[in-house]
Amino acid sequence: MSSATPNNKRRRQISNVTADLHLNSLTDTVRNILTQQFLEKQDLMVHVLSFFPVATLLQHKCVSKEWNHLCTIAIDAKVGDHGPKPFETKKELKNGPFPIIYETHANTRKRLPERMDIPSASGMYPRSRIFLFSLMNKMVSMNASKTGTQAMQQQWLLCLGMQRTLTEIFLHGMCRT
Amino acid sequence: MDVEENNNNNDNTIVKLISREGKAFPVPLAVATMSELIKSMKDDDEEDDDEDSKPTEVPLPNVKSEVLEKVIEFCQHHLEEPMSEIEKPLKSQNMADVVQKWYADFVDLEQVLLFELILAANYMDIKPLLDLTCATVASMIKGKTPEEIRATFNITNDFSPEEEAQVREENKWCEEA
Repeated sequence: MSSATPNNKRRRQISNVTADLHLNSLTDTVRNILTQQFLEKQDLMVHVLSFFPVATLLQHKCVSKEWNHLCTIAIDAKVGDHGPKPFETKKELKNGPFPIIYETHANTRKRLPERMDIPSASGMYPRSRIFLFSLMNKMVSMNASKTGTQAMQQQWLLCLGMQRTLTEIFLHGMCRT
Repeated sequence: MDVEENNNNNDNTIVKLISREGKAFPVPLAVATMSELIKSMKDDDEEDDDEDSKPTEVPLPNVKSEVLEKVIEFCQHHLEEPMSEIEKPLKSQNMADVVQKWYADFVDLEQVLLFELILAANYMDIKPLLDLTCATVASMIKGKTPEEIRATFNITNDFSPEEEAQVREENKWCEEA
């Protein structure tokens, strides 16, 4: 006698769907356990994160506290140890003297500075910051063909953005807290 | 290629890799010694070599048969067509833009198997495989927002809203730069 009555068929279908759901949830559990096992391996996660540029790593810091820590390690590994840390805090580092120079220079000379005067700045600021100034000068030179106040203003705005990025990249390890 | 490596490649020695389930995978020495773990074990064996012709058995209790099969497949292909170095930062989400097609197809895997492969590559110390698999995970992260990363890897956001806002604020400038 065949058992394939409509009711039996439906029961079997429901039972198959239930089994699939169990299997899916089991697969999800296994996947979650494995994902956790992997994410907990700090050295492996740092290896994964090493494929990103510093700017991306900074944005990924807000994923979780663990990721904040992992991204910091990955950035440190990219940037390396720069020895002594002349800045007390990150805030001090980011609000360093450069924007003040920029504003003072613009106000007193009634124009935006074209180049930083490296020799005179050398005695005033840490060597790492001088390095940033010289990089910015290079950027300005590379775009020397673009003239006019607006172009220069854009250059400096770009430089300011660059300065902050470079500050984080090159001086990441330079503040004590 | 140094003399030692050349000798390894011409060597007909067979090494039996034993998976967690006890399954034996006979492979040529050149394939097996792509794993630094096995290489160091072989080096230790050679010190007390007794001219025994029996194939060396290497137990790999941390590696499942399914994963070991993939590892061997990678090592065999790597000897025929070495993988090109993966550029940092990763230039594309598409692995075919980053490595040769065979390698891109090789890592087109279910997430669970990919993570198991990373753990195996790490345990067996196979650098090119570790680079490839970690870069694949990085390609899964690339271009995603922190929220999307949390969803992909089932990560809990353990920041308080204030803490998260502070981390975002601290790193906001790099998005603007």
